[in-house]
Amino acid sequence: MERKIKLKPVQIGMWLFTLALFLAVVLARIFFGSPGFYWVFGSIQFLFTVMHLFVLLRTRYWIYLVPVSMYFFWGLTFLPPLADHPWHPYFAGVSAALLFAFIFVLISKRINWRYKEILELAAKPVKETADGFTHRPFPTGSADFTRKDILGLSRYLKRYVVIFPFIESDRVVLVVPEYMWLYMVLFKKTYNKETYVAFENSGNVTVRISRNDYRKYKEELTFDQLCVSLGDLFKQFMQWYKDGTPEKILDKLNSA
Amino acid sequence: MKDKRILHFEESCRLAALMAKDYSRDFLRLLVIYKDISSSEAGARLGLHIKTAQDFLEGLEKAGILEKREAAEGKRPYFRYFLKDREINIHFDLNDLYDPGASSFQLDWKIRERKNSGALFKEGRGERISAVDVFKGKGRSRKQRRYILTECQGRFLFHLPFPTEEPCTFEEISRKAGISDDCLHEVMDIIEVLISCGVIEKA
Repeated sequence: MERKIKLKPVQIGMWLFTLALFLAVVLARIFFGSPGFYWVFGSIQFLFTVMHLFVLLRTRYWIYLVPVSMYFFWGLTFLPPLADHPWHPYFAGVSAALLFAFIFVLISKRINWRYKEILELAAKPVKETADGFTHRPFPTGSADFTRKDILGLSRYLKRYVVIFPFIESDRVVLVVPEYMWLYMVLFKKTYNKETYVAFENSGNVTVRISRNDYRKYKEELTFDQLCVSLGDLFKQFMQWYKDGTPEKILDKLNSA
Repeated sequence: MKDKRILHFEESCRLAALMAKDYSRDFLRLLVIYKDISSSEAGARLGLHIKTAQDFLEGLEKAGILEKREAAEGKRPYFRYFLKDREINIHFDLNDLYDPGASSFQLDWKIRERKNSGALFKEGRGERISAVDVFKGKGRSRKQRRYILTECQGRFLFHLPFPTEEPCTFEEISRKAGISDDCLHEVMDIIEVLISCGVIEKA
């Protein structure tokens, strides 16, 4: 059955970031020759090492050891001062092995950002296109959960970089950012302009979809239905977590 | 028993403003002492400009504190003022400012947020909106006005139907928001403002 994609291209910033790094490498090669290429390429590997190390520390998910190690060893392999190091061939060998491990991790979809999947899943049941966007949060009714449940769910979803949680005294806010790096690496502290699902201590669930995210849809989907659908999606996640089958959450996201 | 004239709110405000003048005590003292007095006499006596004295006397006369009569005395006619009563009561009846009965018809309105209203809602803690930013005009002449909401208003707006939802009555929204009757009027007030700004629409 043909699957209808309801989103425009997303996370363009990441593509531009990757393109900028690629251009930096190419320009370094053109202007400074091979040493320039290796210096820039090796430095980028260390930059990625630090970025993934932050994610490892914040999610405490061991699988991030794979990209951290891989980028670190790539840095050791390509940085010019270490080219004549007696262990250089071992660095290169470990780098190659870690590359395979990293490809395996990527295929397993365990470190993917889930922004696009969440927006797609939320849009799936919405058929009408009556627009109606508003900045207001939408009360989607109540759900059956305890504070302990939502804290557990937020830890689980953060581990798989599905959401970034904000723990507040009266609620837990699960933010769905387009760029998870802003929260994981750059320590962004606010979610004023982000899409989120908030689980209140009172049992109510509130959804807000940001204007920026709403504009990512190809059509002007009926806004209240979209909010209800996003709320229902996270209520389902909560139910699966409570039932002891949280892996269904990742299966659902992978199916989007 | 003396007939006491009840002033309207605006008249009371004008009278209070006159009494707040730094020369009002001396001026009123003159009015007590003199049987009647003209603006030029009072101005000269108190060292005020004649126009200032005249405005003060006219103001008191309009508020019903003084009476004036025309005098001639061989020159062109002018007015002499005298006190009607030596006791002045400034009374503000705040019930004049709001008639709850007049706005009770609003309870039947079915309302919801207007599509593409452009308003920005600032979220507060605990299922409420804390402020609404309303924009008027376009381009450089665009102006922003922020309304900070009370807790009741914020809770009500949090539960206001979205633009694509079915409109609801005040009662239905209040029930969802858990708002008691005693703050219904302040909610009606902000709803009226937001309707006039095009943020909320009536069905």
